[in-house]
Amino acid sequence: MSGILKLLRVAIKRGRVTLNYPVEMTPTPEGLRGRPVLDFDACIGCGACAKTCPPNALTVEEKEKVWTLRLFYGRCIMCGVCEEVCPVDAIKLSDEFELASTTKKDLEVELQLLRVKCERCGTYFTTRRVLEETAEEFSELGDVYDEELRGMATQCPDCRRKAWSEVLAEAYREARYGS
Amino acid sequence: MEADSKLKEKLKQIRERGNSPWVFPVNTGGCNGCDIEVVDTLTPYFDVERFGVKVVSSPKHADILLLTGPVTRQSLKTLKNAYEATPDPKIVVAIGNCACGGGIFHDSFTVIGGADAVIPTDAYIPGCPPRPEALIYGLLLALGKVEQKIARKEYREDDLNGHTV
Repeated sequence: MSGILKLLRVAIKRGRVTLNYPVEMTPTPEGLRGRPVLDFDACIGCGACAKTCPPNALTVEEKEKVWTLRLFYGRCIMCGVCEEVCPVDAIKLSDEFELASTTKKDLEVELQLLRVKCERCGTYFTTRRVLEETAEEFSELGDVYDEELRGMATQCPDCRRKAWSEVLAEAYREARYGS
Repeated sequence: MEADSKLKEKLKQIRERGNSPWVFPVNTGGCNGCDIEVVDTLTPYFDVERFGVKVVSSPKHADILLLTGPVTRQSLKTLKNAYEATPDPKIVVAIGNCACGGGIFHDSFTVIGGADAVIPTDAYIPGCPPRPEALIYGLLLALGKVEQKIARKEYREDDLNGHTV
């Protein structure tokens, strides 16, 4: 009996501890990892996030002309690796955690970007935004980034390899036999 | 929308039955993380019993099935038994990523998939594990007391019409 009285004294002293959650929003702690939010305008479509995503919540589908990135919150573990690897900060973790939904469809985010053709062989190989981003990055090099290199940026990796070997062969021929 | 109206119909029937929503948690092969969060929501700090939610020890007494973990081959029969033992109308809530769509175990050979791969599911609460607040929110969403906050988003880049870089 005395034990219960002791407990009662503590309980009265402490007062109410229950959160009034759905009525009042509880303050989220600093650095809470909530759902990742995708910035559609900033994403260039490199696919780095999909490559590193541990539970495959981010998946990339490449189909001819269209590059599709799908984010399924029903599999995302909010680890934040995608935020770490994104080169343009297009994906960021927010502090939203109320993700419950009555349908699975509402848990999906879909981003479709257009792919560009290789100028040499005509196969689709990367998105337009990736090319623009690389062009911007390389323009800092100045004169080194000349017409020839710029032409190579618009070729698919296979064709680029071929083009480079042609350049090297030409240089070798010149050094060996003179032009 | 169709799923929504079905859920509302079920809720109406449960209300007509005239009792509080009692829940029966089923772990179908998860890591126990979500179960610990379920227990956490029952503590005085979060106190989900404010809404009449009570954990019962038999599916025969329950209105809501709380599923945690991916559905494995071993647990499939038990899950079906629990589902069939729950009286109609019943609400099925999938808690955590694993129950929502297989989670990090989705490509394992022992995992059939999320809860919706086996039984009809009414609400999904993503998170690994979901916070206790998210669990309360999801339960209230299944009970039709709060509005859904998340919606499907799509973005399509316009056609370039022969644009070259």
